[in-house]
Amino acid sequence: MSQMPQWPNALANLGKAVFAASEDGKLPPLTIALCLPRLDFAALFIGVGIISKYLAFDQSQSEENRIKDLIGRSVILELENGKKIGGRLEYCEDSHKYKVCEYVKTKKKKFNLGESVSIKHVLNEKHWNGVRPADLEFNSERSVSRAQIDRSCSRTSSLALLGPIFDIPPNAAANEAKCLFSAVGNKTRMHDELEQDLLKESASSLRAILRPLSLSEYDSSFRCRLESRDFRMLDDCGIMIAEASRSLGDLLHCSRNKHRVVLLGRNSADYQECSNLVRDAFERRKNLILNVEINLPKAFRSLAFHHS
Amino acid sequence: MNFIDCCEAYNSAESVLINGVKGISVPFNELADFNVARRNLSQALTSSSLQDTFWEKGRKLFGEIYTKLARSPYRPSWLINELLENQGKSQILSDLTTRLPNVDPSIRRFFENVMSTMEKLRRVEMNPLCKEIANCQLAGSRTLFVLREVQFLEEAHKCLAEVVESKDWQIVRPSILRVMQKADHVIIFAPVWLLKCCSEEYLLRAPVAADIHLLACRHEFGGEVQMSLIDDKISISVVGEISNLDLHVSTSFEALAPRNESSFCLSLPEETEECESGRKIPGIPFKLGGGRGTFFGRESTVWVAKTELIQGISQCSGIERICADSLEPGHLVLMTTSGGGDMIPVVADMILGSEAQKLREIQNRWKTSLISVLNRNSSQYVATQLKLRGAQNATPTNIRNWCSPRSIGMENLEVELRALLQFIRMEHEYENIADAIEKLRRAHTSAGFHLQQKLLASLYGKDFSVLFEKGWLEIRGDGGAAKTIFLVEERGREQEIYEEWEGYIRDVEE
Repeated sequence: MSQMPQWPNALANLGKAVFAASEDGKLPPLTIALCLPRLDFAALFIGVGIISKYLAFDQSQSEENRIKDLIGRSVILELENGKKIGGRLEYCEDSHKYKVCEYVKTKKKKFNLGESVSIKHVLNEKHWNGVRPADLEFNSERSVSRAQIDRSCSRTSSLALLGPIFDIPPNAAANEAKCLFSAVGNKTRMHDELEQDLLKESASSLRAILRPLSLSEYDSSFRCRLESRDFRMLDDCGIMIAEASRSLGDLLHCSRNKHRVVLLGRNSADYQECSNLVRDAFERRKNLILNVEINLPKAFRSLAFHHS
Repeated sequence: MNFIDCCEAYNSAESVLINGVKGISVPFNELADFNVARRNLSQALTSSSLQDTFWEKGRKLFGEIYTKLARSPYRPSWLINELLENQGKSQILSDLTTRLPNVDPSIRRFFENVMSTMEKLRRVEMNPLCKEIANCQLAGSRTLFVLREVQFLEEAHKCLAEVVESKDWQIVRPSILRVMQKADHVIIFAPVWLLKCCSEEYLLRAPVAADIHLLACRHEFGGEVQMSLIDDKISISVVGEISNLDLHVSTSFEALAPRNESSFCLSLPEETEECESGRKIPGIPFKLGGGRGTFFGRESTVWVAKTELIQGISQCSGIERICADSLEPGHLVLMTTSGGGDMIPVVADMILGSEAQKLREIQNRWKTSLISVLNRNSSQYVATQLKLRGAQNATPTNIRNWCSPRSIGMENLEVELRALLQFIRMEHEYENIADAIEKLRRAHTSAGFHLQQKLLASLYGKDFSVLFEKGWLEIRGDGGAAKTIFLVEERGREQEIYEEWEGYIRDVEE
């Protein structure tokens, strides 16, 4: 954990605060402008905070209840020797045991994997900790290859590593599709950032946490949109996180009814222009009292106000 | 940027905010005296309305000498000789000297003072700014020297090599530092106020290293940069030096124009069909070498050639695509200066093989019909008819272009080609013609790309010495398009331009 610097958590905490404000139906839409040394990764970490707050779970939930929630779902099981397998979690009423039916090569499906009828890993209580929801569902309608299972194992490891850092609950992968935020900016760069490992020598990307709609595997379990600058906000796009650019004026206009975070990169050629736009918007609305507490490191500068 | 580099950027920003940047002001009395003298002359010329071309050239020359010496490590003796003797600018001084008997005595006195201070400056063998670098403790770590002005890269390199002990250093342009670079120290040859004038505050606001040195002459040291523009006015502290300057700095004497001014004009076309689309975009004028200039759309991208010094010779080390808004004086911009080249159809036919002849015949058929319609009707009438059929891009110029064998066809085949074929009564051939156009277009694109790659490959290792002397250099591939590399001399003030003006090479009117 010590490998993760402070600033990603600061951004995630900001995401949590914005999500909390957006859930409070009494608060008018909020703008938080954040001026950062670089735009890279900022939208994603704020998004992680939003998701974390959305998924905030009952800490007192027992491990057994967590396992119960996963019955019938695809899971990744980490065995005692460190090996990871993909399969489906079952509950045997006769033996009162949980079992993971491993996905293996079957005669029926020549190139893809199927649920094994014979290889079932019976779970004792000590195994529960090693059971995580897979980041995508392996069901009978969807062909699953060995490579996909391996990738899912790797992403689930990411979730296991990053989850505690960003307060993402262990069952995070098992949620229904809902767009919690839309990050609007350099889409290619954001997708590239999504795949990068954040911790040294371990699979630790943000992909399995953020699950953007643009990746087809998350069609039925997406949590956000990563969009280019010409994107126009729709009603169901959640909180807007906008990387400031020359189109910022348009973005501010079309997101006037939304909670939003505006990211200003101090290295950007448009920094002054975009700062002026944000400052103007603030000057018009500064009589609106802000009820959100933001605690950020010194390298960040911020301005927060309700914009309508 | 990878996550580790991004963390570095945050660390550097935090460090600069907490510890500030190091300010090093260096006494350079000869340059300070020259500065006072040239500014006095400039003010006297303005107040006596003596602003003809000769005096303007003189004023610019003195400004150039001053800014080059105050913002780079060049040797004063070398620089003045290079400009006056090797670049022939001593002629400007001769012209002014012959005019002296006819001007106000005060101007004569100011001019003579400039000349005498310049002579004193000429006797200085080593730039004091450069000498100061030896005290910066840069050994054993990577250092970037930020130079806005890289006309004499070889000289800058030579001067720095004499004083920098470490071997791991590099000269970079400011704009490169918008993107994170690996560095332990950054040395910027500029006072703080200049960063503001040139919109380069990002060098301090988003630093690429935790250790930033601002190296500037004592007589012009000062200014401040705000950390952020959105909250309370927190300035980035400059540690180690006290400002020696009234903060209301006038930049009217600077040879390097700040971004909100233009000291040149580009010759504009008459109101012709060149701007028939009527669409305007924000554009930036650039003065290029060889007395030429052009506009680039603010949001367009341009190709620039990179240089490096190999055995004392400036050579091309590659090309890169940058945003036109980042283009600065000293950049080498690549522009296509003569058409697609006769080789493209030949290479395209080779790609198409036996099908080529048939496709060319199909093309020839509809173009011949269109030409015969144009012989009977005006192009404006044809344009109106096509627009009525939905072809919104059917302007007289575009229609004439479509007739040319050099043009393959229109962009939107479904709408524009269909409308055209309806008009010339060939709509029954739409499928065939559209298919031919698409196949030819693909083959031409592929051929053009192939020739372009060959041309760009021929740039690597090319000696750019002539380019820096003349301000431009033409590169011609084997029959493909010719490219000219222009040295960007000046950036002008942003303005609204017709989109057709972009990239069109024009003459510069001073």
